[in-house]
Amino acid sequence: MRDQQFVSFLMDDHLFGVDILVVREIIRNVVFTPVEHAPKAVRGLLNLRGQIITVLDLGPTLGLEPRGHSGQSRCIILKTADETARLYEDGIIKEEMHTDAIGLLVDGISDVVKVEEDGIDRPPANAHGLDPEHLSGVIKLENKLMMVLGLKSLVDQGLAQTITEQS
Amino acid sequence: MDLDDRELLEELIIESQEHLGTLEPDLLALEKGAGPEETAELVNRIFRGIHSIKGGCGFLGIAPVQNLTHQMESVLMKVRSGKLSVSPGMVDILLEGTDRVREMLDDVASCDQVDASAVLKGLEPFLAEEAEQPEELAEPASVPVETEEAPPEKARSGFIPLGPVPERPVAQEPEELNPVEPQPEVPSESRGAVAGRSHGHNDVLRVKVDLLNQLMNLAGELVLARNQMVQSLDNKLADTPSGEAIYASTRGTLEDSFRRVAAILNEQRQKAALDEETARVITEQIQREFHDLTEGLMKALPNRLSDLAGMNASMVNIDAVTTNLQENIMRTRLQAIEAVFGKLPRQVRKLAQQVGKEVELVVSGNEVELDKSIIESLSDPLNHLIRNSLDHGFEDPAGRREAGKPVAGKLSVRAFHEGGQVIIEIEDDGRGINPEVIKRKAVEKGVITAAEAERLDDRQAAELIFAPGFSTAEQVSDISGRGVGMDVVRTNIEDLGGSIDLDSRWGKGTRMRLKLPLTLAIIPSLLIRAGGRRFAVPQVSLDELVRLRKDDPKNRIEEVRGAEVLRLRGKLLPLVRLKDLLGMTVPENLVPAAKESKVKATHVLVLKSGNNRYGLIVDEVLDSEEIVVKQLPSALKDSPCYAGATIMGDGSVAMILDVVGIAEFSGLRFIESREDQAAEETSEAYRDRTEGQTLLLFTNAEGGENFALNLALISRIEQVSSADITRVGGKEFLKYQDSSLRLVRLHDHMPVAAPLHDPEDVFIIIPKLVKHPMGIVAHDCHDVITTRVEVERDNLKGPGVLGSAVLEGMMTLFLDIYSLFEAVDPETYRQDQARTGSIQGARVLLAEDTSFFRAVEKKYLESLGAVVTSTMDGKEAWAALGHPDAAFDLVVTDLEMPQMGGLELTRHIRSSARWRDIPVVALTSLGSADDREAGIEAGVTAYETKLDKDRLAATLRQVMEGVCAHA
Repeated sequence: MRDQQFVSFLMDDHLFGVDILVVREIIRNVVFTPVEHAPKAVRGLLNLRGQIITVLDLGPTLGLEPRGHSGQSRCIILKTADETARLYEDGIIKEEMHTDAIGLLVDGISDVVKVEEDGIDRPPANAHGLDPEHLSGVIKLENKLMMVLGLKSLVDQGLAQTITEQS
Repeated sequence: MDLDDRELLEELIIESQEHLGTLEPDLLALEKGAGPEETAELVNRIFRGIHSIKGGCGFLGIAPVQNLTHQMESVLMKVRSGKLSVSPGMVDILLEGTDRVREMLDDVASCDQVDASAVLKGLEPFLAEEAEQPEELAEPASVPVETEEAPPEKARSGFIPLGPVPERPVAQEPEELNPVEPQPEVPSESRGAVAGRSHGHNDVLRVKVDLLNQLMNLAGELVLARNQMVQSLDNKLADTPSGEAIYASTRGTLEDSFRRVAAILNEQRQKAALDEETARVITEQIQREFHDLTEGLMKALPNRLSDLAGMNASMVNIDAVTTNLQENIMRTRLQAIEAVFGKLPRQVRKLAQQVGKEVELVVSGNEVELDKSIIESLSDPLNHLIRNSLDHGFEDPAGRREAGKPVAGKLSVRAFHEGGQVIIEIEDDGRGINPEVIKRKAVEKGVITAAEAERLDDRQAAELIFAPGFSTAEQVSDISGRGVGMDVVRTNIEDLGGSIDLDSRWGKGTRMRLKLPLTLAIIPSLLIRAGGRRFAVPQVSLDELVRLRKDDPKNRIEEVRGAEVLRLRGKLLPLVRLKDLLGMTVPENLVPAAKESKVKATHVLVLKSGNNRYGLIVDEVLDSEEIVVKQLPSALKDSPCYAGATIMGDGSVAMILDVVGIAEFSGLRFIESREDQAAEETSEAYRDRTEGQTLLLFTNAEGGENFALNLALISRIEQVSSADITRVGGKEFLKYQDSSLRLVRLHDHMPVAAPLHDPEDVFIIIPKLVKHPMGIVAHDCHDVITTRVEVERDNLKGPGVLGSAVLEGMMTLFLDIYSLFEAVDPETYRQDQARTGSIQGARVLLAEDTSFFRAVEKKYLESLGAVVTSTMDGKEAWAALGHPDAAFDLVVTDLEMPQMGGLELTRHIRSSARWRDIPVVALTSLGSADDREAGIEAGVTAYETKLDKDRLAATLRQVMEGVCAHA
């Protein structure tokens, strides 16, 4: 049985996690260029050593408010489909990643959580008002619940919705 | 298949493709025919190409290719040995064979799915003949058997231990070892030719495109890093005060603190009763410290500063190296355009057969290089243009004979460099584009209105073929118009950062001119700011920059129907405000606070979108910069307004604007249509606009008089050699469009200077809207201007003179072609006049707002014998009619006028007891059915087109005789 490690982070008061294997890096200095005429979840573009990263705020897609900005704000840079092709083929990660380099805008980074596979429960039908469709599991920590994001459906939906559909 | 084999296979495929690439042109050349030596060489080369493919595929066990190539090779062997002669049928089947081989090699894994049976069958007859002459065959056939078997064996033994080493042995060894080459000198020669053609004399290494792309990216990074360094260094240098200033301020501070310390010491001495001596020593120590400190500072500072200066020098170095590196890497991506041009002969041959035309293709500039990605995207648009030429451009053989052209049409395809760009010209000597047909079609298809069509000159009309919706299913034929229009061709070319121009002469041919950038990866751009954010605009789309001062009373931004337009040199450009377009909110706090420019002036970028131009209003114009184009992330691919993204010197991302996309997204309506809309309006802006007229300026002789003629009256201008002008019975004629055109030299009929000598070339201005056109001989057509001008009618009088005005500082005569032609050819024109008797003495009220037309129409009417009272608009005309003494027989009115238009005037007339029966003739430049219906409803008696004097005369006569019902 394989131990899984999750990068945990905050959006509003919720603790979320993504598999550490799909995280390329986390950046502190979140300076991006906002882009108009973009899908709802796209907040802007960011330059990471010459590569253009699409910065997403998945809050609204999950049913939360859009992210504000504070000193704790971070951007989690996810690996691309190319970078994770092997992991996906070998079944180590369950979902195919997006082809673009994507950064998730979050309110703060918490610990790296290590769990055994049986430590992950199915997501509850109503996870604190969050859409369970976008959660792949729930992990009970000592004093909190960490919700594991189903990145594919979440990102796909976030990118499918345009601003006009939203309003 | 193990790894070595996989690599071998890759090599084999690449190599085979190269062979296939030369096979095609060679086969075509073979068909065309050449001297015996050349033919022998061609056959040898073709044979060897096919043989190499066969050998390689046999080696790797690709049976379908091996079988097919074997049969092809057998046919060629017979040709080589003189048993068979080349026929078009043979070339056909061999070409088809190469196609099948190509298909098979494109997907080797499923090459057995490719159906080559037709080709094999087609080859049979050629091989069968072999059987009929077995005794002759025996000798040559037996030797090649050896070649077929031996080389692969050799290759196998020599190859495998080397593993994935080069493909050369496959290509060369069989040839070198080939014992059957009848003339040993030929192979070595042609091998050299092959190498020379594709690679020059330098060593060549194949590099994966992926790797090149990575290098290109890295070079891009380097460019960015350089830009960032330059910027931060500039900031540092700017921020660094001079050494003296630092010294002065530091010294001041130090002296201050020294004084304070001294004061404190003094205080302490009194309190703690330090003796004076100790105090002095401490003070001196501090003083020394202070001195050392300032000394050190003075020494250190210049060093620091010179460091910066030195850095500047190395910066220049890095800058140069980076630029060099980037250019060189970019060059590795360049490919000879031959990759696309090489396919043309085959394609043209096939198409020509299909449409039953004879076409001779001349290709030049094969060696011109372009970025690989551009070459790849060039194929489709180029094919489309070629197809168009073949299908629509060239006449059929009979048509060409009739037009006195050689039966074989000439299609030239040229590539060359011009001003850092690559130009591709496709020129045919076919029938050209008939502007009238194009206009008619465009109107039928609803691309433009009839009124718009009327305003277009020939060139603009020809350009209509690029309009979206112009080429539709109606045109579909086998060759062109497969639902893909010229608008798509233009879009494709523009997507590549290029442009396409059209030059067509009816009856003579068409030339398409494509302008392409060398590369797409790095482009020159203009950086601008809007809403606190920076954007890049590709320079290639930028026409000019216009700065409008806010306090300028002549602020040239006007509003037409709620949309902003910019008046620029007499043209109206639709405007887009970038901030509004993007619906930009105040910059978020996540973005570094951008300085909000104090808007004193409005900056307008005049941008080209296809044939149209529009203005983009931005907050601030920054620098020109070479930017590295980054692909948009897929999430933004659907956004119409962006063409890409780039990274600025400070590391932030900026969007590259899509100039064409923005125009489409904003739903801009361009001037032609806008002017129509505006036509009904009675604003001051409208009045200005309509009074402008476009004039051709020309001289009749070197240093002679300046003339102006309204462009609306001109059908064509031809440049002809004086030698082409024939003189018959004291009159001059030019062969023009299958008939003779009488020529008029102005000095023969007007009191103006004659040329001292006859120039070699003259211009012939051919007017339109006249019954018996004559060509006016001009020495030089120097300009076309759009201007508002009051024509002085009284200074100069005489046949052919409408009046005079000062244009561009020169006294210019306005030509009246009608009176001129009457003077030149009184017989013809007097006959026409005789039929206009009923207008003689008629009292005509003329309403026309445009002074030029007013003058012309008045002159027409007067020349027909009418007594004319002219007014400026409907209101004035109505006032004239309201005068108690008013007596008129006829009202002639323009339709679109300020204050009161022609229709309103007519309605007033029809509803008044006094005038309701007076005939009203409407003059219009519009001709659509809608207008007529509206006119009939209002009570217009008849319609006539402005400037067509003959028809106007006829209509007026009919009206006056009461013949004419509603038009």
